[in-house]
Amino acid sequence: MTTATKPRTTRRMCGVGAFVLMGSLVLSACSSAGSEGTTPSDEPASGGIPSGIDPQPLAETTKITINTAARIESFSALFLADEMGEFEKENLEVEFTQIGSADALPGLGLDQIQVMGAAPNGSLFNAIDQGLAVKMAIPCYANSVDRWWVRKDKLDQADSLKGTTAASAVGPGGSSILGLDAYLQEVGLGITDVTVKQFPAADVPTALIQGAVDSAYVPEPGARAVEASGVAEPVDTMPKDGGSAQCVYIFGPDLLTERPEVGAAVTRAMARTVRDYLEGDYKANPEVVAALATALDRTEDEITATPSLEFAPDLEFKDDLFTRMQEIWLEVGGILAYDEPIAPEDLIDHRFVDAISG
Amino acid sequence: MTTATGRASVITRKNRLPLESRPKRIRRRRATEIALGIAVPLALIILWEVSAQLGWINRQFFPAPSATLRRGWEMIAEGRLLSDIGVTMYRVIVGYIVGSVIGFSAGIGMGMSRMLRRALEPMLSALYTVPKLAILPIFLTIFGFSGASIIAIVSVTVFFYVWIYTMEAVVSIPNGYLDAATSFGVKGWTLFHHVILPASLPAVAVGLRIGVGVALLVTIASEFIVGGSGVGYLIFNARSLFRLEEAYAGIVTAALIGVLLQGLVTWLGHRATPWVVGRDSRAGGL
Repeated sequence: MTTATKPRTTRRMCGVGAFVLMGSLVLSACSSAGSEGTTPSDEPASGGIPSGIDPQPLAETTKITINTAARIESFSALFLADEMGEFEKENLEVEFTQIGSADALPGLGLDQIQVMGAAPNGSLFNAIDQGLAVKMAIPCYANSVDRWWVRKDKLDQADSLKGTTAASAVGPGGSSILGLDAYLQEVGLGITDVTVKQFPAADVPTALIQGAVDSAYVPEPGARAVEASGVAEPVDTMPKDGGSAQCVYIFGPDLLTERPEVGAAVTRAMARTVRDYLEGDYKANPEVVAALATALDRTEDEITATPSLEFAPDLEFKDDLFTRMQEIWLEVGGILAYDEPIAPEDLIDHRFVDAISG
Repeated sequence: MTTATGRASVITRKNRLPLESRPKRIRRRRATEIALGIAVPLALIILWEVSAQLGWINRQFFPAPSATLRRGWEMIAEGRLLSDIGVTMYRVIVGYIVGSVIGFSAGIGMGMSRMLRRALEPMLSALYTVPKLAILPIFLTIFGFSGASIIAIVSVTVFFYVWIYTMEAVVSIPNGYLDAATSFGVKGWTLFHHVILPASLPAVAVGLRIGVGVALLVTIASEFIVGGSGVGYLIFNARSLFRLEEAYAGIVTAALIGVLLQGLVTWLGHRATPWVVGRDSRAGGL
């Protein structure tokens, strides 16, 4: 041995040990964000949920985080409530984040986000089935203006639509499948007779116009382009008063269990917003249009370019639609990770909307 | 044997081969290197499994490797995973070959022709910096909502990598090689075949190796956007449906495809350039 050096085996062990140490450090960092989600208890943690729609300010200013994938008109009640100071009346301070629903859902389960506005889709149902302590608490609206569109040469013809492709920005795991299923039943087909394919949202109207697909779920304002092209017609098959099955606000374990009074405050603020500003044809009111434009970061022309959504202050859920949605997804296959529909009471927490009318 | 003459001392040793070059030690070193290459990721996987089983990490969001493996096996049995692998491999390979051939040709041409280089390099350099996924909608409009648009964008992405490495390799050929060839009257195809190609091939092989990794990356990312089939769509769809074990199975599959393709291209590169001896291959190594 020449100079003083460690034996070779010791050097090798040190090298392996360094790698293992690095790996455990990485995983321990993950575990700091990976605490088990809380499980909702059967009873609310503190004092129940106060009833009524009038402001009942919280004892101290409470900061919460609400996530939506985008600032769109489906969430008008939410953003207008903030713009009109309804959250302030409840002593709430709201921070808005804009993250895709698939990425935000774990954050909701871990209380990094308190409320998430999203369309009910397969991921929410799978997450609840796997024990994530989240539930739907408030519907976004009563009725949407969005429709399925079918190319004129395929309209009302069962045979020509069989085996074709339908486009949707969310794919077969979205709640819009209710409308497609209803239309297919009208023409004597079933949901498995067409293939619902996920397309980038901005390309859905183009795909329908160009003929890449024969039917598509085209939300506003993309529907204007389809209407202008003249190649397709809308079919009015989305469930009546079925807005609760198309867009909901989901509460995490914090508002469901730990601080239901805060969830009640959020619900009251949005219910008052619907009652005072969003009933009927609210887009005929220039003041509401101006406020909405500011709240949604749009121009007034963009707001008035599309019809008013239909809001209802009673914020009612249509429980049976959630069961039907799951039955359709189970029939399509590959969406839900379970075999039997989850009962509505395990999906929806009615306390908050019930308290508004109580 | 040690001798001492006056104040100076001379140390002599038996005439023997340097310690590092003994065949037995070389084989032992290589065995250790291979074992480390397997043991380190294996140790991390075991640590992940233990962490998930003991609840150190949230299994809802970080499924245990065993759960991922089990779900991956179920997907193979269902026929889903293999068909998605086939679709992705097809798009990667076709896009890679098209992009590599065009990139190599452009690199050789621009490397050998100063005029062509001056004419095209500024424009191509500007286009190189444009994020390729940002122009995917343009390809969707041109090629339609099908795999052809994915193959096109993979080709374009690979082209730039192979073009740059090839052109720089040709430009960097030592003048001595070209002067020697010229002095013997070598030109045209003979110059290319016997001087330019062998001199530039090692760098081109590096570009091709990087290109295959990028081809897989762009394919997976494009399949996130253009849905319907492929490993990328499998990962995106599984994440969207909160089926995280499937998503992780897809991620592992993508990684394994990457290892396979990179290994294949590296091996082909070594076969094509046998005169290049890397430090790892040299007798004795470091």
